[in-house]
This record gives sequence, C-alpha cells and structure tokens, in this order.
Amino acid sequence: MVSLSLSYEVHYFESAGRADLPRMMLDVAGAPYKNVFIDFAKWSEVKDTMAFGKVPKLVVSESDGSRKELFETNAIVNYLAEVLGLAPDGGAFARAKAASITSNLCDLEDKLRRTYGLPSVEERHKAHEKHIAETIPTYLKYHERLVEGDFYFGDKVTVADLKLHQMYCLFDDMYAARNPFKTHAAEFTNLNRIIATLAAGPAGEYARNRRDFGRLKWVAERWEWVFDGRSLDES
Amino acid sequence: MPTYEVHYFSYPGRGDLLRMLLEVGGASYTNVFFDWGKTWPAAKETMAFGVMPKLAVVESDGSRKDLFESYAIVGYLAESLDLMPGPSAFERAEALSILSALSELEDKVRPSLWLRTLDERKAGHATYCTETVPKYLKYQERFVRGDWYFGDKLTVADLKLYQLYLWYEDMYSSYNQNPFKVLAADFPKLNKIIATLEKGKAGEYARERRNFGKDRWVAKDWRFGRK
Repeated sequence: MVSLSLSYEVHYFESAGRADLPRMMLDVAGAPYKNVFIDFAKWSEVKDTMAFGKVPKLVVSESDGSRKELFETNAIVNYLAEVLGLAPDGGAFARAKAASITSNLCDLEDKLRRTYGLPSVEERHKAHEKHIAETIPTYLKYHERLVEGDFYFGDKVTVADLKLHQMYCLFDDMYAARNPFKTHAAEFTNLNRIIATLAAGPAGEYARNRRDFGRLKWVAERWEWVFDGRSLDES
Repeated sequence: MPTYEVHYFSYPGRGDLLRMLLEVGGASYTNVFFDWGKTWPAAKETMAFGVMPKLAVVESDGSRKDLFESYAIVGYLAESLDLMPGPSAFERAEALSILSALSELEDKVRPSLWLRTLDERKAGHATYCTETVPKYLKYQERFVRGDWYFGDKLTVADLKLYQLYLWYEDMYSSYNQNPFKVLAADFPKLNKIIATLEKGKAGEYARERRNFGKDRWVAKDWRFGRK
C-alpha cells in the first residue's frame, strides 16, 4: 500500500537516462512525485551537493516536512521496489532475487554505456552491431528462462519487469525496428509477453507521455546520443 | 541457522566481499571452487545468468536456494547477518548506495587490466590512482558519520571499503602505490576504518583465507597471472 503521506522528488537531467526506472516505478505505483530537472549547464555548481557527486537523487518528503535523500540508481531502485510494493513477496531473499535480475540487466546496460563515448562513427556503429547481434540476445536468453508466469515472479508486477521494460524502451530509442526483443520475438516469448502487458498498462502510458522530454535524442546515422543537438561526452 | 556455499573461482575477485561478510558475520560457509578451463564451462549454463558468484543458502532441513549477482548477494548477506546500519528499507538503501559508488570506482580500473602493452597498462593504472581514485574517495571521506561509515556500527559499507583497499594492495603494493596509503593525509577517516578492520576478523580473513595461491599480480608485467 503506497503511503500518501510521503512524496518524492527525482532530481536528474531532463532526459530518461538513469532516472527512467525510478520515475516509471513511482508513476506505476501511483506515488506522488515530481521531477526536479538539473540544468546541464549548471551541473558543476550542484555536483558537490550530491553525496557522491552524481545524480539521480531521490528525495523522500514526509508529511511533517522532513526530507531525506538517497543516491545511486540501484540503491534508489531497490528502495522504491520495497516501499512501493514492487518487490516479490517473501522477504529479504525474494527482494534479493529481484535485485539479482535488475543487477544483471544493469550489467548489460553498462556494457552499452561504455560504447556511447567511442570517438568515431565507425567504432560506435561496429560496437552497436555487436550489441544487437550478440550481447543483448545472450543476456536475454538467460532472462527468458527465468520468467515464472505472466511476470518474472508469477502474477505480480515487480521491479524486475519494470527494469526489463526500461531496457526495452532504451533499445527502441536506439535500434527501433532492430530492437532485439522484436527481432528475436519467437525466441523471447516470455519476455515479450511481459513487455506487451506492461505497454498496455500504466508503465506504457508513462513511457509514451512522461518519459521523454524532447531534449536527448538518438541520432541513428551517427550512432550517438545528442542533448539539445550536441554530442554527449560520456565520461 | 543456515549454512552457506560460495561458488566461485579460487581467487578473491567478486567472491571476496561475500566471503568477508560471512566471516565477519560469523556464518558457517564453504567455498566451492571452479576452474576456469576445466569445470567452469560445463557449470556455466547451470547458473541463472551464466555467471558467478553463486550463493547457496542451505537450511537446517537440507533445503537449498541459490542467489546470483554480487550486488544482490551482498545486500542479502548484509541484511541476514546484521551488517546493515538498521532494519528499515531506507537505512539498508543508504548502505547499498555506498556499495554502488565504491563498485563504480572499482569498475573504473578494469579497462587498464586488459590494455595490450605494458606501457599502456602502467599509464592506465597511474591515471587511475592519481586522478580517478581521489575524485571518488573525497565523497566517501565526507560521508563517514563516525568511527564507521554509519556511526558506531560496523556495516557492509566498511567491509566494501576494505575489500577495495585489499584489491589495491594486490595490484599496487609492490610499487608502494596503493592510493589509500599514498593519499593517507587526504582520507584519514577512510584509513582509520581500514586500520580498525585489519586488526579484527576482516583482517584475519584477509591474511588467512582470502587468497588461494592462484591468479597473483605479476609486478613486472602489471597484470594478474592465471597460474
């Protein structure tokens, strides 16, 4: 049961990125939240106000006005899974199983991120072709066999399913019709069923209406992300 | 009380922190070792994500359950063995945020391990130690809230710091280049945590049960050897 005496803020840049999954979780759970966008041009001024010099930051506001802050995406995601009712039932071990799924998908995401900053179009193109053909399907093959019902954990939508959906959306951004979920539809029937169910519900509605702010775009012919028309330097 | 098995290779790597938690938490555990060339290939597909470590939790009635992914295993063990700052979701998440930030620092050195030439590796490690490490550790130093990360209580956050220190010792001690030591004046709180841990169960684990004689750092080559 989501507590309505609590409200949340997600502090991040005006793009999906590492805030996408936390926003999706809050949105799907119906928790009151707002985005606090950080202007990239002013980042150096606010960086040191963040516990580890990074965003996203989650602010949890109690009804008495007190606030507490949490950093690091995977800590935020696992925290929200627990407090928003998006963890599988069964206590610490069940939460850990969900965390293992999100951790492994984050590992895949990190492999992709490491190639965003490759200096030439040719290098980026080659790297992404390998992701499409090999890296992503290799990871997804393991996930396909883990699904235990309509969702990863049977009947209940959990953070694991939402993380999968966030990855699906990311692949759609970059690869469109070559999204490996789509091109391997016959092989990944369980995973695609999760995606289709989520897309038809609140997670899909979030993805269509509140996920993208129009500033970060994938430029397909250059195999790179641009923010307000400029290339990102992923460091 | 359950007993545990750590399924991994016979070097610290991604098994180190799990083993350290079990030791410091006073749990009964055994190592189940895999050999990269001989026994690992057949075992890979039995692992949920095709990777190790695997934690097997063996209950007193003999039933077993498996857990994968270091981050999930470490969080679960920290919670089970009372090595979290407190019982609430927020307190546990704060500890995990330290783990996440330190893991990110740890990952930044990995590309240097695989650079092709000796000169490239030396240069990569030098940049890591002098530029990357201080940028991350300054935030960690600032966070420490007492004798330990979270005040009076030893938690998984302190053990993660020590695990990272030990890995730097593996790689850099022969050149006296462990950044914790080189930059000791900048990071007194972090070094105090490490010094305290060295004197206790974590240090004893590190000296007696952390290394298995394989995959040592080869100083002249600036890389780990598989022998």
